[in-house]
Amino acid sequence: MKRVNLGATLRIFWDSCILQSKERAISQYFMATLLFQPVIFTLISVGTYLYGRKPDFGLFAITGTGLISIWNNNLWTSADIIYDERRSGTLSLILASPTAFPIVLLGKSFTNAITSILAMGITFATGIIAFRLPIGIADPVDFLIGLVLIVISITCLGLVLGSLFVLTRNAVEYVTVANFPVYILSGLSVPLTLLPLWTRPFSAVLAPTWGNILLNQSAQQVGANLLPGYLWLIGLSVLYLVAAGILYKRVEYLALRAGSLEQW
Amino acid sequence: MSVIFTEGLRRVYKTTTGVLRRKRKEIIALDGIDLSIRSGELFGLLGPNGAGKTTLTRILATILLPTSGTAQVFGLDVARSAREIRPRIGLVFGGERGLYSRLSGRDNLQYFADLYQMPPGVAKQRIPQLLDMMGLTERAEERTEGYSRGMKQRLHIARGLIHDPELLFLDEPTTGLDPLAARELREVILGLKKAGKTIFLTSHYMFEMDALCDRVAVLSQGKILVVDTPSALKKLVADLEVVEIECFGIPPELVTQIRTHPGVAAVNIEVLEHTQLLQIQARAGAELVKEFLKILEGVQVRKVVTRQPTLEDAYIKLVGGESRKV
Repeated sequence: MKRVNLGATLRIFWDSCILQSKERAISQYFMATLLFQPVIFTLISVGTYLYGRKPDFGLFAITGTGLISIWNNNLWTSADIIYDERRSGTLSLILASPTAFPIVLLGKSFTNAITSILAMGITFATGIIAFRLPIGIADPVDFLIGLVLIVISITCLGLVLGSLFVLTRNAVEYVTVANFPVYILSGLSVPLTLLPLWTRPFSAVLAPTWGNILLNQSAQQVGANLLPGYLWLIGLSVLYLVAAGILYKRVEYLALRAGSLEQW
Repeated sequence: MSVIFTEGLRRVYKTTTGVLRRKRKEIIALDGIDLSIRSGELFGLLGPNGAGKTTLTRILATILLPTSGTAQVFGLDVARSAREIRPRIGLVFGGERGLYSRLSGRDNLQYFADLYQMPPGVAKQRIPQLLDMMGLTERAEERTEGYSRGMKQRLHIARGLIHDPELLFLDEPTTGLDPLAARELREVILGLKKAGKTIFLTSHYMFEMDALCDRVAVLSQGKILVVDTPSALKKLVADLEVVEIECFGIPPELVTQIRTHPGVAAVNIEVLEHTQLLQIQARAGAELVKEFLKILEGVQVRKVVTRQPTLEDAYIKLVGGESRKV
């Protein structure tokens, strides 16, 4: 079995984080997605509930919107990472190196997930400033743990998507299609209880679903039973990682066979 | 043992055409390639655009799978043992792509040093050496998006050499460079050969192959037409003379008349900025000049030159006088 060089793996993970930060810091599109989209989403969703005289849903709307921004940010940037590598002609060079591409992808996805936490902060700030909502988080420690687990889980999901995107130059188009079903299936835009029963299995395998439940529970009450939510998020993260590992080997083979690494 | 060995190597691209009535189409990029390249050799692969040069380079560099046949690098199969081959090879493509434009030259090299899992101490020594060797030290801290084409190309080579590979693939490295930058790059390539590297170079510049390579393979339409030393290839046209006639607008039927003349071996047309250059390979070409000019009566002729054949002429004879734009 091939020995893994842990030091080298950590170095390339860190390098990829830094590279992604530099690339993103000067991307106007990314900054717009990160900074302005949460504000617009919050104004629309919280405003909708308030207009419908359902102020109790204010917190639900804000956590849901925050998660939409995190998910959106991660999904788009997963597609964008591959697109950028393809466009700059570095995708094939990374694949030609001894480092496994998922390590590079993991570092870049992690940076996206970390920066997308900012979107959650912007969502809360918009809710407080624009609607003067009395938003208090009942259990800040559990809320924070939940947020960290969501970031890890969505990073792992980004790895699955990123692996798939190696196959195609149309990743951004597929992301557009995938975005809205996830908002709905995860209960981020409407409560899960309003969705038909047959959609539940799909909701269960999406990390944003459990993230939404965790954040709402920890924000609303102290001492809520959060263990099932934690276990689901940890379990899903492991599942995504295993799936990404299996998927990537197949995807790499298919991409090398099709000769599609440099198409963009 | 050969560093590179291929036998019956074939690569077919599958594509589809049409929207409603989709038709599958197969494009044969490589068709039965047999090659054997020795350690320390500077081997050139010469061919027109679309001949299959890049496809062959990518297969040998383990980033494209062959459809059938054998391809081995260091005695290892490129499809089954890619992970063992990759740390031992370097890959350099021509053109603007292949660098992170928002990173500095030094950071690009550092990133690729880490991708090749070099120990930090070794990379720390190697990066300044390579920057110096490529004449990039003074601008190493600048983002590469501000580099000239020649600087980018030199950085590409530094990137390809970062892990000190035994075998280097250079895919049209001088394409698009100005003559001075191209000459500097050729000097770098010769230096690498002297340092004992095995180099697989593709190009469609004949003089480059003539000046650099130990052996040259001529590839056309996915097939290798000949493999030999540049001097042996030139002997293919040693009994010929080349008549170059530069003129304004040659009707195709006149070209056909010249091509079918009994003394003519091959004809090539180069399209220049305002004129066309007719290159005619013929036995006793100088004596036939008058006959050629008679055929071209009515065409405005700018210049007529008779010269000895070069490797380029051997190439034209081999690939059948495909038109190229310069």
